[in-house]
Amino acid sequence: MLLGVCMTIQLIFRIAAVGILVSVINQILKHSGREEHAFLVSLAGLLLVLLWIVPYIAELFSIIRELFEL
Amino acid sequence: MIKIVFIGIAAVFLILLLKNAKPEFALLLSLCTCVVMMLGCVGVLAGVIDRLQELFSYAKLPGGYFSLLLKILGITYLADFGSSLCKDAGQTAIAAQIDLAGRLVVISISLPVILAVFEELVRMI
Repeated sequence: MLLGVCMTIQLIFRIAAVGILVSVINQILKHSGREEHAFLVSLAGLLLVLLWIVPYIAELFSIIRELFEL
Repeated sequence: MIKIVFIGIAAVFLILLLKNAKPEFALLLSLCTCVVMMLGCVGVLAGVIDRLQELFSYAKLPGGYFSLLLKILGITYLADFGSSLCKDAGQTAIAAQIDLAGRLVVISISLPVILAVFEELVRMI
């Protein structure tokens, strides 16, 4: 099981940290005039968070499938 | 149990923080919290299902009915999970579609049982 008490809270805080970081970087990039970089940074942040979340989602769905015999 | 509640509350605060700055991260955070909380209480669910299995074995019904019930339970849970997540994101149309798909699958699974009941009734009359 990927799950542990500290694992889950740490994951949630990591995602929130990435979100805040990306929004700060976007503000800076917007003020310095480089709009497209801001969009690229938010895209990269999104992909990084997705990369972290996907194994948890896959594990949840496999557990549900095996538990409910779907 | 306390762990799950704390995770939920912590995540809600972070989501509110991220809501206006980055709405997509707020949605990702809520998705991740739902997944983690469900993973937390899956162990309890497995225990409940085993107890129900024993209970059903006393009823001496043909084996297929309990697994059918489980299947329907799983499908409704998944459909509800997906549709409420879409509602969170504001996409009520997609949420309605997911609900509709869930109902269709449940109906298609439970039709044989309904037919069996009617055949039984006809044979009685």
